[in-house]
Amino acid sequence: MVSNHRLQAALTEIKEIARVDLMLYTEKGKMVTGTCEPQHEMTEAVIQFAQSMADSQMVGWYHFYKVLVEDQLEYILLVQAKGDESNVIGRLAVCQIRTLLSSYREQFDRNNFMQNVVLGNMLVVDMYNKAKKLHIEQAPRVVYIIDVEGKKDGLVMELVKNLFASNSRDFVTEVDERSIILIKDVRDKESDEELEVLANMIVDNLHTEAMVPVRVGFGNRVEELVDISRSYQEARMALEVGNVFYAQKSTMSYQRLGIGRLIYQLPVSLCEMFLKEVFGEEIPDVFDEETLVTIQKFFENSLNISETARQLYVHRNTLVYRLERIEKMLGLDIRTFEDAMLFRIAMMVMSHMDYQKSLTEEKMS
Amino acid sequence: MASLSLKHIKKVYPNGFEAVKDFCLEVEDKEFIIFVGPSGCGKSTTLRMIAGLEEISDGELWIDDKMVNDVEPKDRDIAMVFQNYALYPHMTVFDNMAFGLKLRKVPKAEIKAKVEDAARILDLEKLLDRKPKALSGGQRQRVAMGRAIVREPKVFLMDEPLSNLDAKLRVQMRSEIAALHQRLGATIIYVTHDQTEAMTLGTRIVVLKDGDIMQVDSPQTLYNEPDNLFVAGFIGSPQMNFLDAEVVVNGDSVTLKFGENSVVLPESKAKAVKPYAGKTVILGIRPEDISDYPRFVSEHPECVCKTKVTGYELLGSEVLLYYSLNDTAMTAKVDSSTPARLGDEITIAFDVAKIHVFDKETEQTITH
Repeated sequence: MVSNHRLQAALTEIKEIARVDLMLYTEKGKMVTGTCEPQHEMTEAVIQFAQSMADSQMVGWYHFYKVLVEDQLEYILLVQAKGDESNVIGRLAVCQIRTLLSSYREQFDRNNFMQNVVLGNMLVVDMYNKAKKLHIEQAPRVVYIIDVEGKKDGLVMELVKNLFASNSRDFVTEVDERSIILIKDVRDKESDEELEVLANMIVDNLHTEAMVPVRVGFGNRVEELVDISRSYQEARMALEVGNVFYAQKSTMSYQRLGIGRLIYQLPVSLCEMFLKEVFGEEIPDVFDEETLVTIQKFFENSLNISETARQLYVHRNTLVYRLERIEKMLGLDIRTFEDAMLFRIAMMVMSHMDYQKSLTEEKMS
Repeated sequence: MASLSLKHIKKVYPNGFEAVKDFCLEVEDKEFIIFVGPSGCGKSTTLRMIAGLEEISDGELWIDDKMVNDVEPKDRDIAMVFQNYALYPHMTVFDNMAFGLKLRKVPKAEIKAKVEDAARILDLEKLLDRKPKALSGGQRQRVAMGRAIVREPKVFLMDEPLSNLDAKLRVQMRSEIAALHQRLGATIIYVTHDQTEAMTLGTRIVVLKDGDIMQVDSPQTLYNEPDNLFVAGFIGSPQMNFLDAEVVVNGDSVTLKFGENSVVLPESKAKAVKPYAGKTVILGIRPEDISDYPRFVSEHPECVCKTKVTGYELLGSEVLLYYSLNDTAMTAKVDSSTPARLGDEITIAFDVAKIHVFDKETEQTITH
């Protein structure tokens, strides 16, 4: 529901215009917010007024008003009595707060609805009926997941909401404590490049404003509400595949996962079998930093020894020696295409297994 | 403002990808440092490590006299301007600039003063009530800069902030950023892949390639005295011409031979090239140091070649002539009064004082 901060802002704004103090209480007599502290203890008076049939009443130096939304009592507003106009001001303030609460309630319902759609928690028939009721139209949409390193705070959410606040067709919500979900209406974004640009924009904005490391994954464009959960699953997978295989990238599109897409879906038992086939019973422990960098650079240069040696600032013979040492340890001559490919895939499979292992450990703890 | 010290900074990803290798750099207070290099050279990764958005695998990062490797990004007192930056569409320019401060609970009066001050610096005072859609591209970029300025950081980090602007606006914004640096007296680290941007903005330029620093120097030194083949080719447009040449030594005289042509090196360069006798080196010469102007040809008899024009591009006051020497495509940037046209046989000369010679194996310069 509406935060106390928002209510406080609304009351302060009214006070700035009308120069009258206002206070908001719950029906149980607890003060929520206000532009001043009450001069007397008001709890009892507020409870009595809440239980009475009256919509408004004057008690001592204050006008009391009930703030009702859809016939349900939400708050009691106290307005400092200062001449005839304070009653008018009080009524206008009630009206203002009621509108604020209604719009937030509707927004809350829409967000709640979208959360259920994203998680696939709704029957299709209910989904379309509810969408109609909440004025949510069919449109091409893409789900973006913004993954915040560590635990996200309110600031990140606030920034994302503000970035997309002007478009009521977009939804910003959250389903866990690490990530923020943006369901973006993309009818104005025809190409996949534009979707990528949007992902980069989110990353750059959050890096600039919130100063937290973030990664963004996004799924495919979907046309129907019912498919939004698919786009969400795709975005989730893009992020996870990116985490495992493409750590240097801060945005990941489901459409561009490369071979990581295939390896990510392999069951652990199959991976173990494959690694056993490549390395034998025991995986050799040769993956120190120097070895990894040598192999990576060798692959980057399409198995060209001279160019790799030049880029590593080592003599050609030193590189050949290193590659021979790797061959002895692994039983793979990565100077040949077949073995290089096998090794590359084996490395990716190992990354995948490490990730799965860390997930299992996380769940256990 | 602040000084920065990057000591043997490294970034290696878990898969072995080495994005930045042994990066060492001292940035003085109020310096405007440019990181330039082709895509994937590690310039943005280095910037993100300075910002704290990327973990440093090895090495030390100091801001003033404090090591900040483990300091949270928000506590490093830096501000960033990125390439894909967007303004909040529903907020005015004032609110856009104030938003970050509001979220950090800075008092209202202080926010107002800071925003107005930044608006004055950026010449945005009259636009404070406007929404982003009512601004031009350049004005939006200035607002983005304003959001960084209001934070009054020790260091500004800018990652290709102009690359989404059109060419004309980029030129205009370039000079505005240069002026801004003067007015703020700020320490700025600026990343770009555009060598013109680097040359016009930086007090010093760091040229990067494959995560390695190729050279750190002033724009003028990088242009006149490149340390290696990469810097020589990367800095300057059109890029430097390169030719394989054989070193022929005859007493104190050193000649570089390429096909039927040769160039006698001046004494200053000859001494350094002499040990390469009989070997092949790479001769480098900038297009603007080659001319077909008859007086230039007669004044530079050390290297006169005959060739045929295979391409002609009029740039206005200058002309680019394309031709080949010893089967290598070459370019000369000559005065537009040249009578040479496509298909013409021409005589050109090199300004031998401006010749660069590189070791073919290490690609490092030999001549300075």
